[in-house]
Amino acid sequence: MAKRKGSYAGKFLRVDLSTGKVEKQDLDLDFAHKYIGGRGFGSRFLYDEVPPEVAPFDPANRLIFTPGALFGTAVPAASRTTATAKSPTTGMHGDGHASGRWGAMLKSAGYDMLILQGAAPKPVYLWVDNEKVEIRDAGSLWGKTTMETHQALQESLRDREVGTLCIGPAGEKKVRLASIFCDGITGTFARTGLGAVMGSKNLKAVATRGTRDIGIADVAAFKKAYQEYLQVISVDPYVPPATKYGTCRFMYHRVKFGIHGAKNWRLGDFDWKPLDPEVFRSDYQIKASSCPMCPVRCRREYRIPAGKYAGTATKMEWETIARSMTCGVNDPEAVIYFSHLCNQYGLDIEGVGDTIAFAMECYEKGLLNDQDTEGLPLPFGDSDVFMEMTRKIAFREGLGDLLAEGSLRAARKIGKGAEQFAMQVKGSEMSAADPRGMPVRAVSYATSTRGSDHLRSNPYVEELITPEEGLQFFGSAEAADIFHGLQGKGRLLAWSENLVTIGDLLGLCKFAYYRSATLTYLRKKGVELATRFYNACNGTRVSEEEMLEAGERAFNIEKAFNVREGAGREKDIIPERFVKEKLIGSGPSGGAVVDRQKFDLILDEYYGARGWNEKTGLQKRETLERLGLKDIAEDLARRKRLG
Amino acid sequence: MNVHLKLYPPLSDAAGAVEISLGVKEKATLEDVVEALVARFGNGMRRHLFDTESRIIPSWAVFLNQTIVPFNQPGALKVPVKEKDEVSFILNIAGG
Amino acid sequence: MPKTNAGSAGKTKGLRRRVLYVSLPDQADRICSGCETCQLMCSLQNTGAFNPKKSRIKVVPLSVGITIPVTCQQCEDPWCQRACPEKAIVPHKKMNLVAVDEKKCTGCMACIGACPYGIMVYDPEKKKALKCDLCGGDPACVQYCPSKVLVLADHPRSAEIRRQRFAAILANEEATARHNIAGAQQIKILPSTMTQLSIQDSKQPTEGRR
Repeated sequence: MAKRKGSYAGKFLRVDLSTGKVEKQDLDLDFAHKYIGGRGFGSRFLYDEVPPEVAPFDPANRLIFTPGALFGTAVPAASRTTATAKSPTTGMHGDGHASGRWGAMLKSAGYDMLILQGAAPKPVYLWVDNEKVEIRDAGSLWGKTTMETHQALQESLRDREVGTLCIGPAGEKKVRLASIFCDGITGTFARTGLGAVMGSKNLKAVATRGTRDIGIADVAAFKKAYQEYLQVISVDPYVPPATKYGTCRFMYHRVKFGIHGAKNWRLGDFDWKPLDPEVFRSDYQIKASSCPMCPVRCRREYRIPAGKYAGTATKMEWETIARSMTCGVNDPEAVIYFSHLCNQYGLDIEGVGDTIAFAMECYEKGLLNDQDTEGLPLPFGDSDVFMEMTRKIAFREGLGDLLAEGSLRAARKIGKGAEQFAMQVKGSEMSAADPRGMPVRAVSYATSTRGSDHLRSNPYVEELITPEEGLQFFGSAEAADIFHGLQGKGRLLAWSENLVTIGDLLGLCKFAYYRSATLTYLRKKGVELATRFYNACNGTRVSEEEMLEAGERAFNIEKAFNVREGAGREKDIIPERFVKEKLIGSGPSGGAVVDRQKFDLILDEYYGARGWNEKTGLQKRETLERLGLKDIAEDLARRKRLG
Repeated sequence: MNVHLKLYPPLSDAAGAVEISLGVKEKATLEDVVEALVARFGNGMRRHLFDTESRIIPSWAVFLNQTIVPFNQPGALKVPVKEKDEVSFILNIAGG
Repeated sequence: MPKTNAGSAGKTKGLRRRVLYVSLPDQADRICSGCETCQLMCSLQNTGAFNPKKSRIKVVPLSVGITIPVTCQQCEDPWCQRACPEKAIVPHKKMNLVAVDEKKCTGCMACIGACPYGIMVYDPEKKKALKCDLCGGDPACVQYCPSKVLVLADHPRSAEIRRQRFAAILANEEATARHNIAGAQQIKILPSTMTQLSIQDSKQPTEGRR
């Protein structure tokens, strides 16, 4: 049976910013059905085109944008686009995923992937208008915030439906903590310093208009899967609090478990009451918002009506609240304003929050003095300082120039043992919650292919499985024991990583598909329906196993990229603080550390489950070949980097 | 006897309150607390605690006074409660 | 006065006139979330493909966090029909409203310029006008809206009800404008002002002028 284009756009677009050359290439459907889309496309092309000799700020680094395979269709919560590049924070594989209409616009313009290479001699923006592709002068846009840039482009292009990507002042200054923003402040490719890569290419923005249809093979199958999806989320108790509070809902969980990561990840307890989800909901919330096509509606914009920051209206999510507490700040208006600044300047809130907390602890411990800070004291909890340091980082002013390098590089420059206060893995700052007391959590931060990241690794499956399911799927009933279980955790982690990667291939939001109250609901949404949606849209017959394998494939490509850069087991670690210092808190994890032996045990099992060498963490040839990555196996073999 | 319940969404929405006093039999277990909660607030409560196969959803965790009892642990539901125990229901789904 | 084919009179004159409207938020989550599912399900229903440019319902972002869906008001004496030089906007065969006859439409865009709600749409591929026809009585957008803000109801006959709804639209407009003005305030730490879309921006061209 002939392959159909289905919901794919059908072409790749490559633009060389050094030469101005524009190339279009037809999408090979065999390639598409193997790598699916999103992270699958981006990671593959990054591996093929960016060898170790190319540094992140070299013009030869690629910046690749790939909408998820289902973005542009009405599949619920299929709204995400992937951006991929070699990362200026980790020096390895980097990617980010953002909501916002731009990705669907790219597909409607006719492209499943945009590959940017080279660097423009002066600031430019790219204008993609269906088949017309132009590199235009961005002199008048340079220096503008993200929202200003988005609006200026829509105005000058005389079209309010144009989709945009852009960097703010931070990306222009190659702040390693800079992000790329989508459609103003609608979405952000937050982590791994992608904004700095875009800035290094002198690319201020990409504006896109597309008017083409995005096709669908089987409308009846799509509608049936849609109804089943709505049915599952209607019974899943995970969903109502998500709709009611947005991502603020995580607060109650953190409080009970005592895992805030407050004051640079020392404290599990914190004065959280001013940041109660009810406060955000009653006093600041504009409404329950959605990302494109999503019925869960857990997105939030907040407005400050009065006071010091009156008039601020911005998008804000949980991690902003968490990272504010990491800096000791608990004023809800300061938290919203911090989000506003990072959104406008184009900064990664995780990276900035953790890096400012790092600076605060260095100041507290005397590793930074008043001379280093130009007379500005850096106490934890001071929201004015918090804002001022954010601004300084965005513009590389004073101490901000050092902190703009990220906590690890800043720590190395400061010396005097500052590295112990830089809470990062592979150079990328910590996110989500404290892993102490829950053994596989710590490992999950270590194994993520883009540095510390909870979304990549998603070990939360351990929360919802029964001991029977632990035994059935992961070989041990212990896999269901969050605090004491060890057996089965490595296998659980490997499966969980492949699972959420499916979301990144298809462009599905993890909150809509990969968070759930039971394993049955999770598998129904995240594996079965995700696969059925893909098949309905594309007329394919991909099985659930094949979809999980596609997830495993993308993950292995990223791992291979990192291995080729020289990373092995020695880089799969977590911040020393978690190993050496007991969590100060009253929750179940109070007094806990990450036990090195347990960590290594789980990591051994994880490597085994992945088909990698258990000692070194390097991939085995047979694993890569099983995944159809023989060429990668040969490349690694030549470099003596096979496991 | 009475136990003191602390509720979070969606259970607090089903109960219309964040804190309630719940009457249970003497020598009650956590399972009895769940049953009593459902008996008092009906289907609006039941749908959040039981899955479509009528099994108690394993990702619920209870903080019994200060001790966590995740429902996906063997014997969790048989844990006994005493008069005036504080039972906090939290949906154990982390993330960020 | 020349005789016009004004009004959606014809075989369906006796049928109830229906219209889609956006319900005013009566509950915290019964407010347009901006998901745009309506747009894609509309285009799917009408064209068999996903394309927001071909949607007959448009979700309009007014400001940060504020989105409003706008639909055809199914006027009794439609402006679009009066403006059409080809008599291509004709009474629907089954429903008490007007629809675009694609065979007669030349894509001149007169109707797009005439509609006071700005809700006539231009199909960029067929180069013809598009208009909501309530999907024959079971609108796809109503079916799929997760916030249940779209309601198919009888066209309000009472002038008083219509006056109230229009006043509510103006009140929302005013509240949004106030919201925008506050947002333009300078904050000392931010070196540049955060600008916002103005709903009274007269510099924006209408589609008819493109």
